Amino acid sequence: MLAIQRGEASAYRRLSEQYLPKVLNFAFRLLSDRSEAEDVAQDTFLRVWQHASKWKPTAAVSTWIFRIAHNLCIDRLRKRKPADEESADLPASQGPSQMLERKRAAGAVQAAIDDLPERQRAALLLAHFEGLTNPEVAASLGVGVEAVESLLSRARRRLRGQLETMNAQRSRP
Amino acid sequence: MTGDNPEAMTLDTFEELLDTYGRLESWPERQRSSGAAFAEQSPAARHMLTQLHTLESVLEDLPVLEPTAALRRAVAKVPVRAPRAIKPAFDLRFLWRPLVTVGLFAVMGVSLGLVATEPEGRQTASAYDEEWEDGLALTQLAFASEWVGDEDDE
Repeated sequence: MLAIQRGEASAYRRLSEQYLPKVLNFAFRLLSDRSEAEDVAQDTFLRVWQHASKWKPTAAVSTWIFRIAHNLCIDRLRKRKPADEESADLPASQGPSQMLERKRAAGAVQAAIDDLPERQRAALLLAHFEGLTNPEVAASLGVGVEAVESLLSRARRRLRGQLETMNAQRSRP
Repeated sequence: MTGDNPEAMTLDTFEELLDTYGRLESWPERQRSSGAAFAEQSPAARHMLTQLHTLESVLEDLPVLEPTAALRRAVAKVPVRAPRAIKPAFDLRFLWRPLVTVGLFAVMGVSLGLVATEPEGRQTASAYDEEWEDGLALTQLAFASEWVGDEDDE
């Protein structure tokens, strides 16, 4: 980051290559739209480059980058009309029945994640998929650690419950 | 929160910790062992753990996007599209203060060295002063002809 602050493009390219897949998937899982996720990814790294001087060495680079991406996603979610919030842009499920079942479960879980309030969703994505600790998630979302713990608790409980309901429905004769 | 006593942990506490931190390995250290011990004794707690593991395995099945080549190119070109001035590694405008500070300390160090306690055989500070003045006088005599012209033949 210090090299990027000095304007070294090569350092920026190394950083962007490392974090582009993470930012893209984070935005995709938050927005459920590939095109918008790609726009967010581009805007995120544009801001990383343009505002590199704002990064302080006391903050982890990952939490700073995810904070930028999260804020950009929030802006897009707020601009959406309710009719635009459709289900996930998932690939079609094909293959053996077991894989089909897993895909169906994944689709149901994706839909359940989409139904989570935005902050619960963001906290879960950062904690589970990006492996951030609770303090790091808090820094990325701009909230306190206790708030993150509460968000994760509610998100996981809701998803566990929905998965249980789904399993119970499938097991009915 | 409960300590390491599994009997003190309740199912509600276990569920709260499970939902807050996820897998047992991610729990705060002081609650990890009591949580594991509680799960061994409680079928309901084991069921919750199974639910969580199932949830996590399903989450792993969610699609993972790979950035397209076009996206990679667009992101890589950001410095070209939005050029910034390259700052030098050392900004000389901000060096004068540390340089002055170092200089002052150097002068002080020399001065302190001249007045410090000398081991046997070394000259005292006053001797240094006398030598300095002698040297200065000699210098003045040597260069006197430059100042007074041909009149000085010493």
